[in-house]
Amino acid sequence: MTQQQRTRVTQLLHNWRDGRPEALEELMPLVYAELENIARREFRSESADHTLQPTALINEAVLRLVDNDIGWQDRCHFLAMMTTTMRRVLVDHARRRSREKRGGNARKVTLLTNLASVETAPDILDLDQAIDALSAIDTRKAEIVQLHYFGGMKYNEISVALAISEATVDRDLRFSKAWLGDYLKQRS
Amino acid sequence: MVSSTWDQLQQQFARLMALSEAQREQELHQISATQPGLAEQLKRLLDAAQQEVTLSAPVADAVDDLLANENRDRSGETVGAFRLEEKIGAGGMGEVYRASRTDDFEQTVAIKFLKAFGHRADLLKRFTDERQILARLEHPYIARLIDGGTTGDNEPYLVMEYVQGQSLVEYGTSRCLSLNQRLQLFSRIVDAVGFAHRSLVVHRDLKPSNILVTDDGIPRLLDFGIADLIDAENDDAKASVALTPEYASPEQLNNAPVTTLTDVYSLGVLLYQLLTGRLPYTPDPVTVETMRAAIAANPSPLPSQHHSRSVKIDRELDSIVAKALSESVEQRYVSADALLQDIRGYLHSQPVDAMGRGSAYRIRKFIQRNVAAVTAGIAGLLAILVISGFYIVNIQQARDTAQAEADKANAVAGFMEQLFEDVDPGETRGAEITAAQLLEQGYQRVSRDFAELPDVEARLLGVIGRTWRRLGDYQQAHSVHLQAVQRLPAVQADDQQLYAQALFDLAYADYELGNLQEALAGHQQALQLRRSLYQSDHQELADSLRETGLLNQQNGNSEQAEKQYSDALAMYQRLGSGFLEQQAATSMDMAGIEMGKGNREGALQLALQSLDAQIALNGEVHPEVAIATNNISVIHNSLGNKIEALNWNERSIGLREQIYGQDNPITLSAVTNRANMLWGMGHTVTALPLFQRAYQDLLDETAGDSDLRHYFRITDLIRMLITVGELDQAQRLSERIVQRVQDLEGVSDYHRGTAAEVLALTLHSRGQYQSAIPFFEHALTAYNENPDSNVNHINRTRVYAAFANYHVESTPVKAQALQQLVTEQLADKPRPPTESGMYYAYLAEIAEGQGEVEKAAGFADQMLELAANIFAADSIEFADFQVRAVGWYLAAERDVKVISEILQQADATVKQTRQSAAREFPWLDKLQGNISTYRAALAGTL
Repeated sequence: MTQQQRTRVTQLLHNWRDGRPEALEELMPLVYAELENIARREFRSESADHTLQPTALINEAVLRLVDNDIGWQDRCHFLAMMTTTMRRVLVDHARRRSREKRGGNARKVTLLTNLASVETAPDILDLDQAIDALSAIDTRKAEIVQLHYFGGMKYNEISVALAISEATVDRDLRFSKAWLGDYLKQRS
Repeated sequence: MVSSTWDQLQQQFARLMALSEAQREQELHQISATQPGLAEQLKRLLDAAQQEVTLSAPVADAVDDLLANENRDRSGETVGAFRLEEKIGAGGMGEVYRASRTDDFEQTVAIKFLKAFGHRADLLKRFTDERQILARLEHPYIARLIDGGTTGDNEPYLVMEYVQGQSLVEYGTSRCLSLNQRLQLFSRIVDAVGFAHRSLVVHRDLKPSNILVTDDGIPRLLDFGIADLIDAENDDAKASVALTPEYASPEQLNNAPVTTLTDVYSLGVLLYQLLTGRLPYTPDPVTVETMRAAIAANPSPLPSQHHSRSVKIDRELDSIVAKALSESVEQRYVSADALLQDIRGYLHSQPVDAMGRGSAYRIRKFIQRNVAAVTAGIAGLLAILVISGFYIVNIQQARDTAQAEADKANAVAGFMEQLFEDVDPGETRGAEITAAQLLEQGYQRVSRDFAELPDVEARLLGVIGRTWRRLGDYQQAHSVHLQAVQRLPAVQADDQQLYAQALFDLAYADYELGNLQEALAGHQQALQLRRSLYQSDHQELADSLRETGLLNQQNGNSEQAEKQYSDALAMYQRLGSGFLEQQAATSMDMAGIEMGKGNREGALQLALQSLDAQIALNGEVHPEVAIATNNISVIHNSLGNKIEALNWNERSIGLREQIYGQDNPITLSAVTNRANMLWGMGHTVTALPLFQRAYQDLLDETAGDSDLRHYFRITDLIRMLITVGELDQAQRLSERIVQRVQDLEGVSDYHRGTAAEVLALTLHSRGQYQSAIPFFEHALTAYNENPDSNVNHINRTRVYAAFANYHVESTPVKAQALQQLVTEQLADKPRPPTESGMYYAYLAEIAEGQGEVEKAAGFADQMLELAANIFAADSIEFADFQVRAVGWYLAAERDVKVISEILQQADATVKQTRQSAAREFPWLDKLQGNISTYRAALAGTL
């Protein structure tokens, strides 16, 4: 990615923030390409059995896509925006996939492959639904959850993006995790 | 009421979480006396907080799945009564497909998926209602909404009349319309908008791309009322999603209520652009804020202030535009119809309303306030005219000369190429618009002017397509390149080079669009052609090799991919330093292939080459360099070059800390690599804090949730804690894992076993042999139940269990059985050398227990020999083995000099480790103590 391209991406992100959804159309292919790029090129250490978290990939994609000298605050906002899209993209994609696989009847896919099959594990559609349900009661908590799980954002980043204290992020996240866990358990 | 319960729930949750389990029960009991509902909810939440909820796993899996399956083209799918035929556009609102009926009726439509619309039920309801209103909007200049619905997946779509045409501005510029023609076209648009307003539908997003003009000059307005539908998604507080700042009215930009006069303002912008080819306001960058500021600061330059050769704009037109563009709603035309009247009046040389009552004064003021802006505007305009002027002149030239002499045509085309390639899409928004317009214009003219010169046409199409690609419009690029390929078979064999390029470009666009099979076929064809064209090195040939390699890799043909990559790389290298970027990327791709094949030496060379090129290109502090250095470290480690691996890893960590920061997962992944390498070398004390840093999230003992897959990495950490003697923490962590494993359904036997094993080991290390035994047995059962279990794990645990048993009660019978078991294990298949080292230590211990000191010293020899092979000579793990061996050597009364030398070494290592360690470790104290004891014993023997 050249400096020129990074400047372009930063510009697109600005446009998007300013309410021009079409900027996203140009942005998303770049983000995907970058995600693939990183995933393809970063070797895994044999001894470590350590995989990069996908959320970290998003994180890195953003870092590689925007200008290096982007401010901390801007960076947090961008991460937050990317996260919103990421959730939308992932959920849409999962929906299409489950429709393709199962001829329209979405059923759970087995997850956690290297823990054998955990039947009760929620899939992304369950999670999406649960976050929506939480959002209906408490928008801020749902937003924090989204930034945390879909964007891999850290407490201090979330705190900047949403203009709340880190303590609030921490408290809300603990509560939300329990709430979502309970919600998912009730539904499964 | 609801919210107060919610608040209460949160407060009580936070409070109870901090309590012990017993206190919690008590509190819950008390709450349930007065608020049974709250208590019930609390209990469920607290239960959930105690359990693992793997919320990050679904996200991780979805990303994996997405990466494996992107870029789907829905062509061929059926939606309602229609079959999607071709994706014809994609915008912020969603994708648009050309589609036709699946039944006998012949009808071509455009289907628009409203991606931005989401999947929310309340919005779908509104969508259904509004759609019916829009469907009644029938007017000759408005593209009809035919139908709409939702797919099985609740994805809303609209079926619209399919309009074949150009966007308004493209049409205006490509046809060289006269002023009157422009105004006539515009009046039809205003007419349509007026009709919609009378039907109480506001467009809200009028812009050139929403107005198509057919070949016979009829405008068709698209997307009427769609903006309203889209914005239903947004809360009132948020900015409109469907908004294009360049064409948005001041009230839209300010989030004020939108009326029909909003459309009148946008019409003013369109008229301005139609007359001058420019937008009234061009802040850089174009954002809601900058547009708002630009409008508030000054009125725009009057249209007549832009020089134009073809169109003469007088004061009356100026005043019409100025009135439509009034910042305040009150001064604008009262309706679209009023604007229409003035346009028609102007066309028929009647007095124009906009000129009346004080407007002359207003316009004079307008000009007075604008001298600077006007001058700047003219300068910008001149620049564009110069480019367009050259362009027109040279097309003409190209045509003339090409007819006479093909070589000259090529030269002109080359110049054209330069001209296009100089247009930099990345620089500014303004430049991008210019580039797009220029391209569209060029595209029109090329097909028209060079119809009889297919080679010139194909060359120019190639340039246009590649420029589209750089602008990120792969669909446009694809259709232009396709046209070039289709035109070229008519060309004689002497321009095979051109044909190969066209095939290459088309395949490239196919790849970008995700058509992997087509892309592979196209690249193969281009490669074949170029091979026969170029007998020696050539960039085009190298490009073809690399792209074909990539496509082969993506299609799973890694052998072919490897050959092509390596040919490409060699060629780029021979071609020289102008191709560093290609060299770097190709080298790392190849290194990946080599690692996959197990050729680590080869992979190392390639990765090093890639790194050199990356540094030459980007400098040291760059994400690519951070990746390359880590990759090199991983390769060195797999080759057994431990020190090299550590050095490269250190460099990568340094870069990552600089680029991403200390706690970033990217940085931490390199830290984990380092910790693992150090641990493997026996530098356990150095590795431990690194693990703790990398796993800090997992180690937060108050946090309830983490991904289980990551969580099990702590078992390694627990083993280390046991080694260094931090048994309290080891016990806490292992008990926690064992607990969670029990709570969770469906955890694999392997993980169940690992959890039990680390707890047993902890207990064993504490001397609680009796309590350790059931957990060893537990682990053994779990491992045995899993058919895929590593045999080594099973055997290791058997030895541990037997050893614990022996420690409980060291009878000769048990000793003999244990000795037999361990000997069997040692004789059996290859095993990790660390375990073999431990087994000799066990044998030595048993022998010593039976009073066979010579035998014990013999085992100690073997133990030390193995340890020396595994661990670094100056590592603390090796020192530990040395100290153990000394114990047995002393008992066997081995050579004092040898013993004291070994002790000397171990002592130095322990001191060195202690010095560099971040804190105190019981292990080091114990070793130091043993060394002193043995030294005293040695002094005694001397």
